[in-house]
Amino acid sequence: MSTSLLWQRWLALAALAVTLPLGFSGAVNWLFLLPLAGVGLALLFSRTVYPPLPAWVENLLAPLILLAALAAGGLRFGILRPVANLLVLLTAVRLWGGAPRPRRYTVLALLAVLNAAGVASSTHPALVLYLVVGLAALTFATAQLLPLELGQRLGGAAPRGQPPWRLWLATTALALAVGAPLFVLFPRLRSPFAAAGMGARPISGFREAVSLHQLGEIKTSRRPMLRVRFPDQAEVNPQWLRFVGATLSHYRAGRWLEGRRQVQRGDLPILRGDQVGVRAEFSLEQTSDRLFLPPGARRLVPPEVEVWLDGAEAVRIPRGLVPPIAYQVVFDPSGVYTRPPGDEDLAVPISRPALERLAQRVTEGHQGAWAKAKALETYLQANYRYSTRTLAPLRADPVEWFLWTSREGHCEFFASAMVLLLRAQGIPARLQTGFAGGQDLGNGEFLLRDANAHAWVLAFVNNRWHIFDPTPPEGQPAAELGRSAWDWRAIWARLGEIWDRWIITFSLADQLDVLLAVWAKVRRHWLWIAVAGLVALAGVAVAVLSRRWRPRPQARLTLSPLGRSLWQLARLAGWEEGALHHATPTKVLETLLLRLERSRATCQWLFLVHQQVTYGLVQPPGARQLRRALREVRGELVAYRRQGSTPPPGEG
Amino acid sequence: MPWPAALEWRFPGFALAPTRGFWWFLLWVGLVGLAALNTGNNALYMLLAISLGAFVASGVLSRHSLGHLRAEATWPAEVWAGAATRVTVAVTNNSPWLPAWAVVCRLEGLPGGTVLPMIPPRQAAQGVVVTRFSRRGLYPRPALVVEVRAPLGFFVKALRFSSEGDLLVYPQLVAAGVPRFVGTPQGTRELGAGKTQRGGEVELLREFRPGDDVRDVHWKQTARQGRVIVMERKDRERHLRFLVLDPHVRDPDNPTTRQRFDDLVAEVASVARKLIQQGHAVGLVVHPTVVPPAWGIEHLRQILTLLALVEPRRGVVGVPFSLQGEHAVYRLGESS
Repeated sequence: MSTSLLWQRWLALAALAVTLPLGFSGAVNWLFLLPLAGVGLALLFSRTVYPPLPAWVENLLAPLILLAALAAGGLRFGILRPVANLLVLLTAVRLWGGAPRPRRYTVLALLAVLNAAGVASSTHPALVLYLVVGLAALTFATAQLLPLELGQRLGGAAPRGQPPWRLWLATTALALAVGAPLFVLFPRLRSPFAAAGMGARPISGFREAVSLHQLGEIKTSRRPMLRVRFPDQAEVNPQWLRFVGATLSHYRAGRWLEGRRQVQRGDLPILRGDQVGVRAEFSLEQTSDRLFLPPGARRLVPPEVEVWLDGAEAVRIPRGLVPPIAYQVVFDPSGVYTRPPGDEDLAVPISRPALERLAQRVTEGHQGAWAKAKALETYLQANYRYSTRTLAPLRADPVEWFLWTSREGHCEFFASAMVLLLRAQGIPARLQTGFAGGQDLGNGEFLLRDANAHAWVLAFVNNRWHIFDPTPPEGQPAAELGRSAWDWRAIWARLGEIWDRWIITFSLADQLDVLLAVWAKVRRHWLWIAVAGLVALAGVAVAVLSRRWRPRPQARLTLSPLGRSLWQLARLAGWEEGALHHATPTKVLETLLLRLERSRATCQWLFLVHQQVTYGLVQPPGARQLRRALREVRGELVAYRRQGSTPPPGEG
Repeated sequence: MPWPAALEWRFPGFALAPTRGFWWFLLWVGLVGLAALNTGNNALYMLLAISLGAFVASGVLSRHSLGHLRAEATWPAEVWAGAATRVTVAVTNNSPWLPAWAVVCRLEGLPGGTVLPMIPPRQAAQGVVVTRFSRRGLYPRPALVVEVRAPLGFFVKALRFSSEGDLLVYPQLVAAGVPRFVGTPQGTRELGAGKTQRGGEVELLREFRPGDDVRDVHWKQTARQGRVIVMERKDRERHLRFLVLDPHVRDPDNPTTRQRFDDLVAEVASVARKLIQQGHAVGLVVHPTVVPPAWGIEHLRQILTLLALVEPRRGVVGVPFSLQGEHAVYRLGESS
């Protein structure tokens, strides 16, 4: 296999590996990854080295690539996505014929960038396996290609072979051993120049302002967001797992938002509420500008910072607090506490007649606001499909588009539609966003992730607010309850939780905690640590010294048969094994000739032949001839030894 | 080298040079580090940590590998300027567990090198470095440089094994024609008893004596009789011939002049070798040194040694003494 073919295959393998995190994390659409994967597979199994595409072909592909990126949404969903799409397609084009020397470095650079983007988008525990296998493969590839490149450069035969497994295994193991503490020790300081959101994030998660146009295709994120614990409850009702982030009443051109005109500071009523109800302890795992409370929150014990209420009735906290952010709430499980309804809760700024007709048709035969609300809820659940891929066109209103064109969407579309339909029936309604469901961690504790972000409806029925959830069941975040501790899913979930807690969300606070805990342990057990250290040091010293004092076996030289025979002659003449390793043939011959008379010429001939054979100048003579010559010299040396003593070679 | 040397951060003969891959790696680490710090993304921190871990691992293992290598070079008996010189290098890996991978052996200051793909732990490997001396002369024996790049090739780590002694490089062999000798031919017979010279008819076969030319060994008889038999050739009258090299030039410091002088020396050396191989008695005169005509490989080496070391000097040529015998004079045209 030529060096170029080897390069081609390794680059193809790298391209295939890079598609994994990009695809599974959702950073790049699978459609865009297909060309890269296809080219990678074609190159991996090919037996010929492909030349690069002609320049005119690449020039022709350039506008097509641009068009593809635009067709995928362009800058509508931010700049990062189209850039990633462009890079992937560009890499696919450059990968073809990427083995030759100047081009392969471009391909390597592109793959490195894509790899970093894919890794950065991943939160799954399999990321560790990906990085470890990737490192091992990189070490193997480098070890395989290095001697080939060197051989070509030096002009000799390119040495081939598999790298020794010890080398790449040791490299991988040592890299992990060094990398693990580095990961813990790297300072988790968010840069003041942290990139702000450059467009809507196309991943699941809570958003303060719901913009139905910009949602696009949502990828589920497993990033932990919120922990809730119900310390006083033996059993937890799944209905309790709903936590409000914002209550929105104003809908304009596809957006739900509230202004800051009703900011309330100071002595908030919720801080003085009664303590009758269910107590819950919260911990925000990410930086946040608000606290998420149950709809029936009565009393809040906030973190030790200033809190205030904004126009969306959210309890706000200062940004930049280092998570975890802890607070406690006492809430009424059956209550929904929000401001009384107003005119804004009946406003229908779009297609009121159409909405009225639809609402009328759906609620026909149902009496009372409660029945109508339930009818609308059931209608949306049954007649519309849940989908995370919604691309509402800019020209149309997204709720109208959802109700009459696409007939599919995610929770915010369902909730928005129901709110407007209720309002068309004269029932005050609001949109609430927050989190729902969660993963049961046992002991009354639940973990909510970005994927648990949800939107639902508040409807003012029978003089009080009620919660309605028109999203189909498959789109509602589920509450996973009551798993056995030994269920393999629970174990995997537990591992995932540990991964999420200590790797993905490892923060500066965690770092300090770890270092302080280590320091505390050291201070507490310093004597034992010192003793163990001394014992370890003594053990190392003993091992090293014993190696030094032990006679080291000489390295085995690779000798030809004639060389071995001459070696034996030299030993017969009195040469020590160790001295022979540092002697030259000329020196050995000189000492042999001193001991020989009849077979001097033969001995000279043997050394001359050995020299010529070593340098590849002649073929070795016949074995019979060599044996005869060696026998002659050996015989005379043995006779010489029997006669008397002369100083061994090298002495005197 | 005793084991404490392995603990030194820098040990004698060690050299370190970054490769292009190191600079690219530096850029990579900078960008990933900046992105990680800017975003607080722990996955990027993980990538950064593993990258730096790989860097450290590569450094430690290559250092370990290099620290346990010992190398020795074996030079051929004759080294000619301009000709490929095959130097055997033997590298020993004293590491108890780690194989040495992709070890490059070079000669310091000389072109060429060889790659030893793998040297298992506690074993040795041999290779041949084909190099070339551009010019004749006496050189300090070049040091052997052993380089290690594996496993990841961020640095070229080299260890220098110096050799004692000098190396004499004979003049370059060129295709030179036999000159036209001038002067009165002077003959000679066999020089001393027991010395036979090549070229004459085979007169008899006898046992080998020290000093005999190994090319006169009769291998068939040797094999048959079990002792070395040589052919004694008939005496014949041989002419004494001198090659005279005039080292005087007008401008010895001029590079062109030196190159032309080297070419001249190469021609003289080639002619001398050719004549001696043909069995002629050839002497050399390089003012003021005179090497009387003789035969044999040792005499040739004597002539070649003188020619290897001769340097041009400023001056005017003169006939050094009255040469008895035929001679051919070699001089550069610009000398006067």
